[in-house]
Amino acid sequence: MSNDKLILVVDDDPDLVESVSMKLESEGFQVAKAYDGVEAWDRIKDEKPKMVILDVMMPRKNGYELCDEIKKDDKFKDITVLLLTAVADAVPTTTYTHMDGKTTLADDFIPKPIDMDKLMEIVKDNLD
Amino acid sequence: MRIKGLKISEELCLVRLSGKAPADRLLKAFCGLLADGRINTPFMTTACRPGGLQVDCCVAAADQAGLERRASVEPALSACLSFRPGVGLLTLFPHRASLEVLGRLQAVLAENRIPVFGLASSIGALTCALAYDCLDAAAAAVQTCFELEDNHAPFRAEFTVSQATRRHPGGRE
Repeated sequence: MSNDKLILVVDDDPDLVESVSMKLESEGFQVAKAYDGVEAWDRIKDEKPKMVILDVMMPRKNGYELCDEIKKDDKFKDITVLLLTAVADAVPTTTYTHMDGKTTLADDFIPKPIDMDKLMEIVKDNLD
Repeated sequence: MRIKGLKISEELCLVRLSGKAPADRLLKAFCGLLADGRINTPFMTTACRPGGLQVDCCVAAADQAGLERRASVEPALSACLSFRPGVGLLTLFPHRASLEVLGRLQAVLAENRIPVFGLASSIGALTCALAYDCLDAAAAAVQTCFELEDNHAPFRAEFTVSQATRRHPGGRE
Protein backbone atom coordinates (compact mmCIF):
# COMPACT_ATOMS: atom_id res chain seq x y z
CA MET A 1 0.00 0.00 0.00
CA SER A 2 1.38 3.40 -0.95
CA ASN A 3 1.96 6.32 1.35
CA ASP A 4 -0.82 8.58 0.08
CA LYS A 5 0.82 11.85 1.09
CA LEU A 6 4.36 11.09 0.04
CA ILE A 7 5.90 12.44 -3.16
CA LEU A 8 9.40 11.38 -4.18
CA VAL A 9 11.39 14.06 -6.04
CA VAL A 10 14.27 12.68 -8.12
CA ASP A 11 16.84 14.82 -9.92
CA ASP A 12 20.62 15.01 -10.00
CA ASP A 13 20.40 18.78 -9.55
CA PRO A 14 20.22 19.29 -5.76
CA ASP A 15 18.93 22.84 -6.15
CA LEU A 16 16.01 21.67 -8.21
CA VAL A 17 15.22 18.90 -5.73
CA GLU A 18 15.33 21.38 -2.88
CA SER A 19 13.19 24.05 -4.52
CA VAL A 20 10.53 21.59 -5.72
CA SER A 21 10.49 19.94 -2.29
CA MET A 22 10.01 23.27 -0.55
CA LYS A 23 7.09 24.10 -2.82
CA LEU A 24 5.43 20.71 -2.27
CA GLU A 25 5.95 20.91 1.49
CA SER A 26 4.45 24.39 1.56
CA GLU A 27 1.35 22.87 -0.05
CA GLY A 28 1.09 20.20 2.66
CA PHE A 29 2.73 17.24 0.93
CA GLN A 30 5.31 14.95 2.50
CA VAL A 31 8.45 14.78 0.40
CA ALA A 32 11.25 12.27 -0.02
CA LYS A 33 14.31 13.06 -2.13
CA ALA A 34 16.70 11.10 -4.32
CA TYR A 35 19.50 12.22 -6.57
CA ASP A 36 19.86 9.43 -9.11
CA GLY A 37 17.81 6.55 -10.47
CA VAL A 38 19.40 3.85 -8.35
CA GLU A 39 18.84 5.72 -5.12
CA ALA A 40 15.29 6.54 -6.23
CA TRP A 41 14.45 2.89 -6.87
CA ASP A 42 15.64 2.02 -3.35
CA ARG A 43 13.46 4.79 -1.91
CA ILE A 44 10.46 3.61 -3.91
CA LYS A 45 10.84 0.06 -2.62
CA ASP A 46 11.29 1.26 0.96
CA GLU A 47 8.65 3.96 1.11
CA LYS A 48 6.23 3.33 -1.77
CA PRO A 49 5.33 6.96 -2.49
CA LYS A 50 2.06 7.99 -4.07
CA MET A 51 3.84 9.95 -6.78
CA VAL A 52 7.33 10.23 -8.23
CA ILE A 53 8.53 13.43 -9.91
CA LEU A 54 11.33 12.09 -12.02
CA ASP A 55 14.04 13.75 -14.05
CA VAL A 56 14.84 12.10 -17.36
CA MET A 57 18.59 12.62 -17.60
CA MET A 58 20.31 11.25 -14.52
CA PRO A 59 23.46 9.25 -13.81
CA ARG A 60 23.50 5.55 -12.88
CA LYS A 61 19.93 4.98 -14.06
CA ASN A 62 18.01 7.46 -16.18
CA GLY A 63 14.40 8.48 -15.73
CA TYR A 64 13.12 6.39 -18.63
CA GLU A 65 14.64 3.21 -17.24
CA LEU A 66 13.31 3.89 -13.79
CA CYS A 67 9.85 4.78 -15.10
CA ASP A 68 9.73 1.49 -16.99
CA GLU A 69 10.78 -0.45 -13.91
CA ILE A 70 8.07 1.20 -11.85
CA LYS A 71 5.34 0.65 -14.42
CA LYS A 72 6.31 -2.95 -15.13
CA ASP A 73 6.34 -3.97 -11.48
CA ASP A 74 2.94 -5.08 -10.15
CA LYS A 75 3.79 -3.75 -6.70
CA PHE A 76 4.56 -0.26 -7.92
CA LYS A 77 2.72 0.26 -11.20
CA ASP A 78 0.02 2.36 -9.52
CA ILE A 79 2.53 4.99 -8.45
CA THR A 80 1.96 8.15 -10.47
CA VAL A 81 5.07 9.10 -12.43
CA LEU A 82 5.60 12.66 -13.66
CA LEU A 83 8.60 13.07 -15.93
CA LEU A 84 10.65 16.25 -15.84
CA THR A 85 11.55 16.97 -19.44
CA ALA A 86 14.14 19.71 -19.60
CA VAL A 87 14.64 19.17 -23.26
CA ALA A 88 11.04 18.93 -24.42
CA ASP A 89 11.29 21.83 -26.80
CA ALA A 90 14.64 23.39 -26.03
CA VAL A 91 16.74 20.69 -27.64
CA PRO A 92 14.75 19.27 -30.53
CA THR A 93 17.59 17.08 -31.74
CA THR A 94 17.89 15.03 -28.59
CA THR A 95 16.28 11.65 -28.15
CA TYR A 96 14.75 12.85 -24.90
CA THR A 97 11.58 14.41 -26.14
CA HIS A 98 8.00 14.66 -25.08
CA MET A 99 7.02 12.02 -27.59
CA ASP A 100 9.65 9.60 -26.44
CA GLY A 101 8.53 10.29 -22.91
CA LYS A 102 5.02 9.15 -23.79
CA THR A 103 6.33 5.70 -24.65
CA THR A 104 7.65 5.22 -21.13
CA LEU A 105 4.13 5.05 -19.69
CA ALA A 106 4.69 8.11 -17.55
CA ASP A 107 1.43 9.58 -16.32
CA ASP A 108 2.29 13.16 -17.19
CA PHE A 109 5.11 15.56 -17.99
CA ILE A 110 6.51 18.68 -16.37
CA PRO A 111 8.58 20.88 -18.68
CA LYS A 112 11.82 22.45 -17.46
CA PRO A 113 12.52 25.14 -16.51
CA ILE A 114 9.84 24.53 -13.94
CA ASP A 115 6.99 26.95 -13.40
CA MET A 116 6.08 26.18 -9.79
CA ASP A 117 2.42 27.10 -10.24
CA LYS A 118 2.20 24.84 -13.27
CA LEU A 119 3.98 22.11 -11.33
CA MET A 120 1.40 22.25 -8.55
CA GLU A 121 -1.41 22.21 -11.09
CA ILE A 122 -0.01 19.06 -12.71
CA VAL A 123 0.65 17.39 -9.36
CA LYS A 124 -2.87 18.06 -8.09
CA ASP A 125 -4.48 17.02 -11.38
CA ASN A 126 -2.68 13.71 -11.22
CA LEU A 127 -3.57 13.05 -7.60
CA ASP A 128 -7.29 13.57 -8.15
CA MET B 1 28.87 14.07 9.52
CA ARG B 2 26.45 12.72 6.92
CA ILE B 3 25.66 14.33 3.60
CA LYS B 4 23.43 13.12 0.80
CA GLY B 5 25.87 13.29 -2.02
CA LEU B 6 28.71 14.62 -4.13
CA LYS B 7 28.59 15.63 -7.76
CA ILE B 8 31.54 16.20 -10.07
CA SER B 9 31.25 18.27 -13.23
CA GLU B 10 32.70 17.79 -16.67
CA GLU B 11 35.73 19.91 -17.63
CA LEU B 12 34.95 23.61 -17.60
CA CYS B 13 36.61 26.96 -18.15
CA LEU B 14 36.48 29.60 -15.43
CA VAL B 15 35.81 33.02 -16.91
CA ARG B 16 36.55 36.06 -14.80
CA LEU B 17 35.06 39.45 -15.62
CA SER B 18 36.59 42.28 -13.65
CA GLY B 19 36.58 45.96 -14.41
CA LYS B 20 35.84 49.45 -13.23
CA ALA B 21 33.30 50.37 -15.88
CA PRO B 22 29.79 50.90 -14.50
CA ALA B 23 28.96 47.48 -13.07
CA ASP B 24 25.50 47.22 -14.55
CA ARG B 25 26.73 48.03 -18.06
CA LEU B 26 29.63 45.58 -17.83
CA LEU B 27 27.47 42.80 -16.45
CA LYS B 28 24.76 43.40 -19.03
CA ALA B 29 27.29 43.24 -21.85
CA PHE B 30 28.79 40.03 -20.48
CA CYS B 31 25.42 38.36 -19.96
CA GLY B 32 24.45 39.42 -23.48
CA LEU B 33 27.54 37.70 -24.79
CA LEU B 34 26.61 34.47 -22.99
CA ALA B 35 22.99 34.68 -24.12
CA ASP B 36 23.87 35.39 -27.75
CA GLY B 37 26.16 32.36 -27.76
CA ARG B 38 23.55 30.25 -25.91
CA ILE B 39 26.25 29.38 -23.42
CA ASN B 40 25.23 27.67 -20.20
CA THR B 41 26.84 28.75 -16.93
CA PRO B 42 26.72 26.02 -14.29
CA PHE B 43 28.46 28.30 -11.79
CA MET B 44 28.37 32.06 -11.35
CA THR B 45 29.29 34.43 -8.55
CA THR B 46 29.23 38.21 -8.63
CA ALA B 47 30.81 40.76 -6.32
CA CYS B 48 30.85 44.53 -6.33
CA ARG B 49 33.96 45.81 -4.62
CA PRO B 50 35.55 49.24 -4.31
CA GLY B 51 37.84 48.20 -7.17
CA GLY B 52 34.87 47.41 -9.40
CA LEU B 53 32.80 44.47 -10.46
CA GLN B 54 34.05 40.89 -10.39
CA VAL B 55 32.12 38.02 -11.92
CA ASP B 56 33.40 34.45 -11.92
CA CYS B 57 31.53 31.96 -14.01
CA CYS B 58 32.16 28.56 -15.50
CA VAL B 59 31.34 27.54 -19.05
CA ALA B 60 31.89 24.24 -20.82
CA ALA B 61 35.46 23.80 -22.01
CA ALA B 62 34.13 23.56 -25.55
CA ASP B 63 32.53 27.01 -25.24
CA GLN B 64 35.75 28.84 -24.34
CA ALA B 65 36.99 29.49 -27.88
CA GLY B 66 33.59 30.72 -29.04
CA LEU B 67 33.23 33.02 -26.07
CA GLU B 68 36.69 34.48 -26.61
CA ARG B 69 35.90 35.02 -30.28
CA ARG B 70 32.62 36.78 -29.51
CA ALA B 71 34.27 38.91 -26.85
CA SER B 72 37.05 39.98 -29.20
CA VAL B 73 34.66 42.12 -31.24
CA GLU B 74 34.00 44.23 -28.14
CA PRO B 75 37.48 45.36 -27.05
CA ALA B 76 36.24 47.17 -23.94
CA LEU B 77 34.60 44.00 -22.69
CA SER B 78 37.34 41.69 -23.91
CA ALA B 79 39.92 43.65 -21.89
CA CYS B 80 37.97 42.82 -18.73
CA LEU B 81 37.87 39.06 -19.33
CA SER B 82 40.33 36.37 -18.34
CA PHE B 83 40.02 32.63 -18.91
CA ARG B 84 41.26 29.75 -16.78
CA PRO B 85 40.79 26.43 -18.56
CA GLY B 86 40.97 23.04 -16.84
CA VAL B 87 38.50 23.79 -14.06
CA GLY B 88 35.79 21.56 -12.61
CA LEU B 89 33.06 21.83 -10.01
CA LEU B 90 32.68 19.74 -6.89
CA THR B 91 29.16 19.99 -5.49
CA LEU B 92 28.25 18.77 -2.07
CA PHE B 93 24.62 18.50 -0.98
CA PRO B 94 22.55 19.31 0.88
CA HIS B 95 24.01 22.48 2.32
CA ARG B 96 21.09 24.36 3.88
CA ALA B 97 23.26 27.22 5.06
CA SER B 98 25.23 24.96 7.40
CA LEU B 99 28.37 26.72 8.54
CA GLU B 100 29.72 23.41 9.78
CA VAL B 101 29.53 21.94 6.27
CA LEU B 102 31.21 25.03 4.84
CA GLY B 103 33.97 24.96 7.48
CA ARG B 104 34.67 21.25 7.12
CA LEU B 105 34.81 21.50 3.34
CA GLN B 106 37.26 24.38 3.40
CA ALA B 107 39.38 22.67 6.06
CA VAL B 108 39.65 19.38 4.21
CA LEU B 109 40.54 21.10 0.93
CA ALA B 110 43.17 23.17 2.69
CA GLU B 111 44.64 20.12 4.47
CA ASN B 112 45.00 18.42 1.11
CA ARG B 113 46.46 21.54 -0.52
CA ILE B 114 43.74 21.71 -3.14
CA PRO B 115 43.39 25.27 -4.48
CA VAL B 116 39.87 26.69 -4.60
CA PHE B 117 39.12 29.15 -7.41
CA GLY B 118 35.56 29.87 -6.41
CA LEU B 119 32.93 28.89 -3.88
CA ALA B 120 29.19 29.38 -3.91
CA SER B 121 26.28 28.21 -1.83
CA SER B 122 22.80 27.79 -3.20
CA ILE B 123 19.43 26.66 -1.95
CA GLY B 124 20.46 23.02 -1.99
CA ALA B 125 24.19 22.74 -2.40
CA LEU B 126 27.69 24.00 -1.79
CA THR B 127 29.81 24.17 -4.93
CA CYS B 128 33.50 24.88 -5.31
CA ALA B 129 35.50 25.46 -8.45
CA LEU B 130 38.74 23.48 -8.43
CA ALA B 131 41.39 22.38 -10.89
CA TYR B 132 39.78 19.68 -13.03
CA ASP B 133 42.67 17.32 -12.38
CA CYS B 134 42.09 17.63 -8.63
CA LEU B 135 38.40 16.69 -8.65
CA ASP B 136 38.84 13.00 -7.89
CA ALA B 137 41.36 13.74 -5.14
CA ALA B 138 39.04 16.38 -3.71
CA ALA B 139 36.07 14.00 -3.75
CA ALA B 140 38.15 11.36 -1.97
CA ALA B 141 39.32 13.91 0.60
CA VAL B 142 35.78 15.12 1.24
CA GLN B 143 34.71 11.56 1.95
CA THR B 144 37.23 11.37 4.78
CA CYS B 145 35.25 13.92 6.76
CA PHE B 146 31.74 13.52 5.37
CA GLU B 147 29.82 10.26 5.24
CA LEU B 148 27.74 9.62 2.15
CA GLU B 149 24.38 7.85 2.10
CA ASP B 150 24.74 4.09 1.70
CA ASN B 151 23.30 3.99 -1.80
CA HIS B 152 24.99 7.08 -3.13
CA ALA B 153 28.32 7.31 -4.92
CA PRO B 154 29.95 10.54 -6.13
CA PHE B 155 28.70 10.92 -9.66
CA ARG B 156 30.05 12.67 -12.69
CA ALA B 157 27.86 14.56 -15.07
CA GLU B 158 27.31 12.11 -17.93
CA PHE B 159 25.75 14.54 -20.36
CA THR B 160 25.32 18.21 -21.01
CA VAL B 161 22.28 20.01 -22.25
CA SER B 162 23.08 22.54 -24.91
CA GLN B 163 20.78 25.30 -26.00
CA ALA B 164 19.64 24.86 -29.55
CA THR B 165 18.18 27.67 -31.59
CA ARG B 166 14.53 27.97 -30.70
CA ARG B 167 12.10 26.95 -33.37
CA HIS B 168 9.27 29.32 -34.08
CA PRO B 169 5.79 28.13 -35.05
CA GLY B 170 6.15 29.35 -38.60
CA GLY B 171 9.29 27.34 -39.15
CA ARG B 172 11.48 30.44 -38.77
CA GLU B 173 14.77 29.83 -36.91
